[in-house]
Amino acid sequence: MKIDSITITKLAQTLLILICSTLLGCTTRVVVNGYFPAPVVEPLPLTVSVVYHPDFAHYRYIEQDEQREEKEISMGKAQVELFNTVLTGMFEHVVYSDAVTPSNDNPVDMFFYPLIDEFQYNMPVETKINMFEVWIKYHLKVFDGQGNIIADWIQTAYGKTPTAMFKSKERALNEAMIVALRDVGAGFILRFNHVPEIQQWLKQHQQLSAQHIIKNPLHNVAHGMAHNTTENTALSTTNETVNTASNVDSAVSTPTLSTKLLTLSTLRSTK
Amino acid sequence: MNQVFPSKYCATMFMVLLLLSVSGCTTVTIDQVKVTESDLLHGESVVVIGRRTGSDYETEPELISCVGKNLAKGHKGINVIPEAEFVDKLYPWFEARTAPSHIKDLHRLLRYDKVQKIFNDYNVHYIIWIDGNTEKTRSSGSISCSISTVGISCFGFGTWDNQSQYEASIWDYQTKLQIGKVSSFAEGTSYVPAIVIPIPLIATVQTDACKAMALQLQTFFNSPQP
Repeated sequence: MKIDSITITKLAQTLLILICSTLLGCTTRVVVNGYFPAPVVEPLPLTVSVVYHPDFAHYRYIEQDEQREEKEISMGKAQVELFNTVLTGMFEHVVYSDAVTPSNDNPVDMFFYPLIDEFQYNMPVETKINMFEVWIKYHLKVFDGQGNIIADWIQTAYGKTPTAMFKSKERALNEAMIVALRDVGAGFILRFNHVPEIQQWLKQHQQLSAQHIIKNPLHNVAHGMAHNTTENTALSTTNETVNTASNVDSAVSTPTLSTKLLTLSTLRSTK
Repeated sequence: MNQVFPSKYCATMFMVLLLLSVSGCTTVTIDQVKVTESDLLHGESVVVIGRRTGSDYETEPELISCVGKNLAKGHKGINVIPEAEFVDKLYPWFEARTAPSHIKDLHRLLRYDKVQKIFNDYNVHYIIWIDGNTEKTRSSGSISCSISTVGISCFGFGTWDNQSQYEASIWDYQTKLQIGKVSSFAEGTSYVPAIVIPIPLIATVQTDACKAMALQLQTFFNSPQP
């Protein structure tokens, strides 16, 4: 009888451990992983330094609501990959820094500093529609080379994916996340030079660059700007060029700041 | 006794094969509007893309892939560019919120040389936009299963209706015109009677809608000339 009671106690303990393990196993962990294609845009002739705060680079969402199934979504690596790809396509030179700190040794035109403000998701069981949905609210900041803020704005992202037979919740959430990240990338590309403060800064920067180019032609090579003799055409102001909508095709092929801005402006107006 | 076993085995096999061959019924209706002639020359391609702007539904990627695969099949097979490959190549211009919603938007987008070059490299002649989804419209019945010393046994009856509604808009990349539309409406009922074991008789509504639409789209384009 004594042996039996010990056996029963051990069995009860094992059962308790099994139940606890099962309950702990209910946590859904998603490490967002996907492919982000290079954007089809004309890169702006600027050197941009990207600052990823550790909270951003290792962002992990943990569901706190006890009513909902416990979820842990790690998206830091994926969003860093997205912005790396997008920024490399948008700007001619992209470097990385730990902080928005001006440096005389390696001067940059601009600092880009993204942050996450908010993250939300919905499961089909909650909305009664056969859709996994994700919303991300980004706070994007742009500083000039001296570390003065130029602009900060909110960029939202939305992604959804339908339910499908044999598709796990983890896979569906990952797909929705990838759609949302691609969405923020697309929104950022199309909106960037439509943020009024950035538009203004780009105009001023272009004028300063133009003056500098006149004083020092070697700057063209060092700064990655166009280096052919048609450079002077780039010295016309952006406004003058933008007003000539019929010049779009020829403008796109001239690799200067003003014409690249024109390209983005014209394409953005189609959206 | 030796003669009974093979006949029992054959009967069981016959029943299994019969059940496998039986499925729920689906009715498909196809409509087509064709504005102008649509010739597809040898080497030219089409791209099939899903519209993803609906707030409470999404055109399923597997439907788009199914239409693409079926368009490429048979003696009238068409060169189809996979959706994911095309959208990736043209990022960010064909994302859910940035894709051209009207032909005039595409016309403007194509003023950008880089985008136009990608279209030309693929030798795209037609773009087929598919919008719609498949959803469950009704379900009823119940099945209960029990575990006993002899095993698991189920009893009951379940049924549900599925409905697919898709519309394909065909844009001519070369003339920059919308040249027609093909719509596919399918509905079907699935049954699961359970007497000891559940026997699913599933209506493949989405697949049938896809196959019918692909077949119609193949006839929409005049055959490629070798």
